[in-house]
Amino acid sequence: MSDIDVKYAQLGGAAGFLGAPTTAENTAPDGVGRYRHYQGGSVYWSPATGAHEVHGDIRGKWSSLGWERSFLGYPLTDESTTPDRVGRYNHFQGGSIYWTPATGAHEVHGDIRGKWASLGWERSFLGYPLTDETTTPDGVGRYNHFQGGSIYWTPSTRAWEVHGAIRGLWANMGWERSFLGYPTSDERSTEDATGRFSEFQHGSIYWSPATGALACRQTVRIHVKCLTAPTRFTIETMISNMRLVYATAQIGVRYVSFEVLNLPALNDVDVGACTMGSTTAEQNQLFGNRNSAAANDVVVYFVRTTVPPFNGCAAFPAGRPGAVVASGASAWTMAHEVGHVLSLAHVNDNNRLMTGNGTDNITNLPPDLIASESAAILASAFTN
Amino acid sequence: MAVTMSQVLAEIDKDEPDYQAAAKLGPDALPHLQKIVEADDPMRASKAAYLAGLIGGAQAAPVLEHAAAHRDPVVRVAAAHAMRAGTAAPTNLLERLLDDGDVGVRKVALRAAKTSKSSHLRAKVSAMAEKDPDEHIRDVAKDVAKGL
Repeated sequence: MSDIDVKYAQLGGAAGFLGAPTTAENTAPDGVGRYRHYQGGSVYWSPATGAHEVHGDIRGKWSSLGWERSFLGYPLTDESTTPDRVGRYNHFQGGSIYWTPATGAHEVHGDIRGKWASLGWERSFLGYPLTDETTTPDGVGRYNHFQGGSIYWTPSTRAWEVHGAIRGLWANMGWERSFLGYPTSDERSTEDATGRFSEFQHGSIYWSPATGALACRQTVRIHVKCLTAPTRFTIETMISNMRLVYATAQIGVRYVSFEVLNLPALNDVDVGACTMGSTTAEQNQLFGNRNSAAANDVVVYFVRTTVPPFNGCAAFPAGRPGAVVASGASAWTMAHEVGHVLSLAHVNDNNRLMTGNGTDNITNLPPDLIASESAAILASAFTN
Repeated sequence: MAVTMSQVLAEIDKDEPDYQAAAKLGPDALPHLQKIVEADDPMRASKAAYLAGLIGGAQAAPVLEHAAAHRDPVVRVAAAHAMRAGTAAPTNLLERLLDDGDVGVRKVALRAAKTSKSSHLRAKVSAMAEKDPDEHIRDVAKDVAKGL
């Protein structure tokens, strides 16, 4: 009795869903394995995989791709019910085919399948595949659409999911052929969980309930070095607020790194008159701590106090862009100080981030960055 | 013309107050600064303490006294820096800040002592250069002592 015969018998033989044989057991066209077709499906065997049945729409999809000679190779499982009990699947050597009554049968494989698996297969927010893996219109990447979103892959960016309103905006902009290019991250929550964002090759898309989805053309890369954590608002809130207000000006914020600095001598840092282009010995010493920051990255140092007392100070030594933020700063001070680093000046308007009247006095939250400020930031050497 | 609390807050609630401009509010601002230092907002209190030092005069002393005794070292740091502004605050206030348990307060107080002509303070700074438990403070004290 062959392994195929044993599998057939285990599945009920002629009385099972496979029914009567329609062929003899044959060597597969690739010369490696063997198969037998039945009225209700097929059993395929290879030395590496053993014997497994395929039937119905999943068999039809596998057949359409080229049976065992396709990239899928031989089945690794019988057709099985998915954990959510809605669909069916077979795993193969080179991928999987998933089927539901609503979506039909579609294959997923490679890094896209790996990403889908890492998110939780069909029980993730993506649900079941709606397409096979398909080449993108620009010919560079590959994608599967799913019920709840998409996974896009390129050799250089790897596989990332996009979904919801962010996917909707990206699609409206032209998918990978928009200025954003391909995704380089999954959709992520902002640090304080009030918004969402996905990063792309050439920008990002930010979303919040208040703003909807906003495409960001350029990015300011932020590193946080913490000597003393702020006391009124968390760093996460300050970063998230910065993401929000900068996104309205088409500027993405990439929070690149966080580091605790044990520098008690600089925890109350002398900033002199806090004049742009003029720094004290203590500022020079503090701003020398740029571990892991690239030349044009902005480093924000959270200190206990500035001397004299300011919420923050954006004066930085040449070649070391950054700002200090004091522990008693407002929720918007960090975004305000980085605005100075990016060349923005004070304004006399409490609706705007760059108000010179105190960011605790901002009205009509979130504060505005107007078009000319957005243009100035886009032109800054510290955005890319 | 009397200075109002709103005028004072308008100056010190700025992220980066222009202290020289704010000091032009003059001594009439000091009662408001006293109230701010006494209230429970260390950021405002620190700015108020420093501004009081810049305005100076006899009425600034009680503001700085209160700031120098504040439970939050953030405010005491500002009080110590205010001493640098040439205030009329008594020397013993700076001495007290040199004895503060907080390293940051002592560092800033030492720098404020740079301009002192008090022989007592000079001796104090010299002693700190030898005996302060914090190495960085000893270094700062040595540096300050050289200039006294």
